[in-house]
Amino acid sequence: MTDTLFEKVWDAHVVQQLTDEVALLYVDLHLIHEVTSPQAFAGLRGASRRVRRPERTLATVDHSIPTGDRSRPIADPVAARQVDALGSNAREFGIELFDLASPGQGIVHVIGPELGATQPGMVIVCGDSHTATHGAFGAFALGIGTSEVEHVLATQTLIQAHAKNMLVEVNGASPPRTSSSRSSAESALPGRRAT
Amino acid sequence: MIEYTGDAIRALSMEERMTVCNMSIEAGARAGMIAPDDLTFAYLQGRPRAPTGPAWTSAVARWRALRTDPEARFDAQVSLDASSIGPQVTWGTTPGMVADITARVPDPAQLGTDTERRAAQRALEYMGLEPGMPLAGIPIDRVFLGSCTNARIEDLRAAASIVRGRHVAPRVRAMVVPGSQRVKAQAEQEGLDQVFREAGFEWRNAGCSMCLGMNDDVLGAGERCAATSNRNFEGRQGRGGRTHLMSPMMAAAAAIEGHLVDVREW
Ligand code: SF4
Repeated sequence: MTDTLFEKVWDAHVVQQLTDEVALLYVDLHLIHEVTSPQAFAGLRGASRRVRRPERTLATVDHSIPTGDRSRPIADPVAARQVDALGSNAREFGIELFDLASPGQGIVHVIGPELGATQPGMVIVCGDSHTATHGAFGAFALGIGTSEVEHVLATQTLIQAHAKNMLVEVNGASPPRTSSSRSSAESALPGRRAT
Repeated sequence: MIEYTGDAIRALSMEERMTVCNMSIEAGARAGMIAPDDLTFAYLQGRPRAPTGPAWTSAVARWRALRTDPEARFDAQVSLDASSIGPQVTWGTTPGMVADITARVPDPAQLGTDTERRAAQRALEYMGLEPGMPLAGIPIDRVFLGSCTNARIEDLRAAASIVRGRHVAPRVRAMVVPGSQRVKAQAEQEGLDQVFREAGFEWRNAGCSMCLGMNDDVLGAGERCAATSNRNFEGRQGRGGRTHLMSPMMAAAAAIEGHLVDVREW
């Protein structure tokens, strides 16, 4: 028994080993939002493909939406188009969507855990750079690009190179109110790496 | 891939663990992970998508095995002492350009390599800062309490505890953008929206908002912002906008004072 947490999760998700380093991984949860998904859906449609596991896909609007009054239409034409596109794509492909009117709407990385959709041991992907958030539950969670979003939608798998493993051990009592010290611990880390 | 471990990590709430993992990408990793424990299971139990009944019991049994074996080897290992780290604030245009709030803006000339010197020089020009300035005291124009890094209910509670009964400094425009509509509803149930509104904060609907400035929530050129989001790249929050990243309590205190401040002195 000499595996890291990451290796255990990785090994449990290998569908096919492509090279020594690269594998095709099964994806348990795919989070999508209005900005990195329209092209992916267009690609899918162009290839006459369906979403492989719509029930393993969750959609919300967060990136480009206004945060003011929601009773009025979205003023920005680009954002309005993106939000509309996600709405019709979710309907067409049978994906659950938390839209602007939904009490469950929110930032993808906030609603995943909130719903309990984020679970330990999962592989979780999203077309956003901060998908690593879900790793707090012992999931392997990573941000992917738009072409990969299309790949995951179509196949529920992702091609990934095995990652190097780093252990960061943080000991010592943090100051009483943890909220401010917490951002300290994690932001001190890139600082140390940069120097 | 970074795995976080140690007493200080175990002692964190789930919300706090999410903040740590969220920032892994800024440390150059593809992902960050923390082994699940009783706290993780307690957080998940009863949530809409979590398993129930016998499925829950067997899921927890499976999840308990998700930990690094004692003999496992890592490619690299780092140890940090949480008690030696003060509240951090960024001074530059990458999350790595960061220092303790008690520190001063670094002098690029003192840095090790040419690349670092040039990068820091450019960052200071963009940020409109001089080497040697104390970080505490740098005046701000805007405050953004939001993003997937720091806009969960605990974050809003922590920030509210700072602003309660106080008022945002005269020149400062401050906004709270909850991470989700559920977080917003919960905060409203607890009366936190009142606390923020009375203090002069705008209370908005959930979204990424000023984390990336894709909607109307943007900084103007030269505007300086205390932000709880995750990236301070040039133009990230609006063209010419100057971002200082910090925790929700630090940002809340900065809103009240009108400048960066050490929240521990409150
Ligand atoms: S980092 Fe988080 S808050 Fe910022 S754009 Fe991405 S999901 Fe939204």
